[in-house]
Amino acid sequence: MTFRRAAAGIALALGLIVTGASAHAAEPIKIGFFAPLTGNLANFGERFRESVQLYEEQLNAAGGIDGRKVEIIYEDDRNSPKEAASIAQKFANTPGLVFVVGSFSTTASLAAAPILTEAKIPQVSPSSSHPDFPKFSPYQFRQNTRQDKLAPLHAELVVDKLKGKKIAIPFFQDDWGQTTANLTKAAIEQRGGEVVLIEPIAPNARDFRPLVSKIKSLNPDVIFLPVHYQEASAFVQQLRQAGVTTPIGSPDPLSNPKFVELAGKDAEGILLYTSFFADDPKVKPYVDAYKAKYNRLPDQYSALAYDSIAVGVNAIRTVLQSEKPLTGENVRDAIATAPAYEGLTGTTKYDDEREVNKKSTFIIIKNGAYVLY
Amino acid sequence: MELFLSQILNGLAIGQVYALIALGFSLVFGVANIINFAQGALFMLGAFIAYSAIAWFGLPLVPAAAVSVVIVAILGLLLERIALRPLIGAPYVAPFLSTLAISTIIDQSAEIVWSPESQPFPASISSTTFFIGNAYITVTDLVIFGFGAAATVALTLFVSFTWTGRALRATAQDASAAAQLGIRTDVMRQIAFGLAGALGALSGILVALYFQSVFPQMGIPFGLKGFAAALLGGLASIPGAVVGGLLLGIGETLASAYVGDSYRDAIAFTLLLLMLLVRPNGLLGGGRLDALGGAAAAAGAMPTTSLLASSSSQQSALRAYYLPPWGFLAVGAAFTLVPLVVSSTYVLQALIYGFIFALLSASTSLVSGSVGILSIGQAAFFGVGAYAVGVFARPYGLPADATLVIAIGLTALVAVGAAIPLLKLTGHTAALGTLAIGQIGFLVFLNWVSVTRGPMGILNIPHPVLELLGGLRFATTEQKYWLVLGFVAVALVIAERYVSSPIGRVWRAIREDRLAALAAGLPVRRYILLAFAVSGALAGLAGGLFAYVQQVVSPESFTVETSILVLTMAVLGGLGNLTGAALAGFALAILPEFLRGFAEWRMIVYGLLLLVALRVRPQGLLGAR
Repeated sequence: MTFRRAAAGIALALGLIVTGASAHAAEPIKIGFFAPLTGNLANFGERFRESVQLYEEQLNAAGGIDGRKVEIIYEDDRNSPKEAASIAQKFANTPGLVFVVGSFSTTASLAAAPILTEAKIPQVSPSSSHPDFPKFSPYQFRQNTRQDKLAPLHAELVVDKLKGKKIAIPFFQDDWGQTTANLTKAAIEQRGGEVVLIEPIAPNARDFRPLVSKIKSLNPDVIFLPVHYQEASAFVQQLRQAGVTTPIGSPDPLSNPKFVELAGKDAEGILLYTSFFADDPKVKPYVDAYKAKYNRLPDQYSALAYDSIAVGVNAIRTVLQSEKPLTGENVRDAIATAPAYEGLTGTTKYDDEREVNKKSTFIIIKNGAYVLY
Repeated sequence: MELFLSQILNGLAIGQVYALIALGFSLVFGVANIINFAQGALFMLGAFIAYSAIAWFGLPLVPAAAVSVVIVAILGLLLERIALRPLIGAPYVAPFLSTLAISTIIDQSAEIVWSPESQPFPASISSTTFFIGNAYITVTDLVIFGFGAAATVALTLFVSFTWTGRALRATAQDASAAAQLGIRTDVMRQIAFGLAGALGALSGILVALYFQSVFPQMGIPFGLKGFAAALLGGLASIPGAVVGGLLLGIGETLASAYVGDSYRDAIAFTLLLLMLLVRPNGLLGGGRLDALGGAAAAAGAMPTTSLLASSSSQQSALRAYYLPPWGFLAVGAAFTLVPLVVSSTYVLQALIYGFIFALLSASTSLVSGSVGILSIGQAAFFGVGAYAVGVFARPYGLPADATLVIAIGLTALVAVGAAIPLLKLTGHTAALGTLAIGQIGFLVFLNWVSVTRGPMGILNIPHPVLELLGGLRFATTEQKYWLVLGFVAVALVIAERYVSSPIGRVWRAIREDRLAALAAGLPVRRYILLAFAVSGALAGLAGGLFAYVQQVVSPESFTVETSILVLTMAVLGGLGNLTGAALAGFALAILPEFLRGFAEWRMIVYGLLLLVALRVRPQGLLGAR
């Protein structure tokens, strides 16, 4: 008896430490958020957090969801699969948590996926780009468009717009870069272009002179650059420094104001596309609010995170209004069957594979700013 | 041919950057005999302080650089005072860990102060580029080269011809003898750290100018290259650092040019290991006294002294507390009851990671503690085990008994293979060799796409099924908890039996005095290889279990940060003490969960706790064995 009581006490104490005090009638609706807030990819995770926090404030200031406040639990996964799995367990053990946003990389998102699936909590990742991510289970969604749907756009950009026949593709060595590079290569070849170089560059690399010399000797007429903006800015600087004036095309990660700031004049003339264009009058209220709160312009990742949380909150509202019980399962169904939602990054309407197909706009960097092409 | 020459020129350009970073390591290593892991952090701070002085206070480049150099030099002094001075007399591994903790704290603080973003460096030297055919060189290259050469010459003159320099060298060669001759060795150490800070800041600023940007995570990648360069040239040798840096730069540039940019670092570190096979002391780290540290330090630390020995000649007779082999079974049995009273899968998951890291930490303690080869590459072995399960469980559909046996066997083989180049090395050189192995492992996982699927990772690893137990399937968190607990407890029993057996005694004999062990007729090499095999097997099992728990295997889990974390666990537990290692591994794996409330301050608190623990128990929590 004593043992049992002691054991129960320990269990209770552990439970309290872990889940915090809980259980009141009109308690807020809980939503989990996880992303790399420290470490190597923290710059991306911070963008997510800023947007989600902005959304939370706006929502609660407007009275929450049908009068119920929303409480978002922010967790840092350091882009480590182990941490992501622990966080997912924490969310799964938080009573009343029905929706999760996260994470930045597919690795972290997928480490959380089995646990969230078992707990029947839907997960919307703003940016996981692995082709198989939503295939994991019916509980995985994402906000970015799958790479194979973007590849024809890349080929159009490189072959038609930039008139490339010989193309070099240095790509970032992660799941996104690898998928993008390979699919784009195939799409370019289909259009009659020739890919003369396709080579991964390591995360956090800064010295690209060997690659630049190699590209210079191959003399391509277009460079396609699926590389994140920190590495890309170092690359274009070193490329231009070596006297290579080859035009550059790139996918959407370079549509980040930070890229122009880092690369300076060497960013001029780069042609790219984006699904979020900060000068678009439709997104002005968001851009203004973001700028007022964080004193910098939002980028595409901020916008994707904002749309992710919005999609989840809309689904929660649908469930509440339909007077079904508020469970993860019902929220999942509401996300999957939700009508088209006009967000900051385009239309979210999930197809049978839980994928979106957002429209992109071509933009070009001119005089240190992004302008429509 | 023209391309080849322009690549050589590119190699020289980046090589001189490495050389500059390597100088800072060499200086501290030569004088204080400490691998200063915080050097990368000081380097990053140098760049950021100069950045702030220019961007926030509007100073021109040169005064900003001067301010930064002075501040970081003072920080170097503080580092010596706060983190290392209290550990004088502690085992040689304690200060090493303490610099790691400091570097964690500095890196994380920088992310808070300057945000995790890259910032454009607000000053530049000149954008002029000179072309020689297709090859080119920039004015910035020349300026960096000028500074590097000036720093090398000034440093060489300083240690050769000034009284302070002579005192520094004397301290490096034999600190106690120098102290008896009236040299204030503590002041000498401080001077070395201050100088290293100043050099770190200078190289940080030059790197920022070179790449035109600063970012808080720059310490680790550049720090690693600095180590590699210093090791290649011969630790503690000033000209060695320069030659090592240039060679490393040329080597990796050629690798990038002719093999592929993603293989650049893998090839650089492989070349380093091969070099160490031929010249264990590095290129210029010969027996001659012109190396800063003189013969003793240049040879890469005390050839026959144990890592657990301390600079004070009195061996503190601290008691080590450890469990007998069956004790692990008893503790394991007690833990089996937890799921009966705790239903939170969050707690169980945290405990599962605790067990896995207890095993991993014990595997590290076995090579690092019992044999005395500090392993900073254990994540590579951990990863081999995880990938073995990932590859064989999914496409081949093998049951867990088969995949785990493959994981254990394969990792043991890999560990033995990796140990071969380390056989000739001792002390710090061997430790840095394992660092190279860890990096190679990570890069292989990342780039060997046809097997590991590279950055895509291996997904959807099925739940483990034990055929030997009649197809028993472990699908829920509780079931996996029991599976992991069972394997870990049995593995620890076996490991502890090794350590307590005559084999373990031979291992410790090798650690304490390798020459004496050899003279006593022990086949030293075979015993070291055996230790690596056992350690590899344990790490492989930990990796295999990790893959099953995680259901996803991707390179991010096996970075140098993981290796460092695991070594921290082993040292903190008490080197060679498997009970301590398991306890510390368990505790440190769970600790971050308790610190979640600190949000972005989490890693800082973690670092501070480590510092305190080291200060209180420099021999490790349960004492080294």
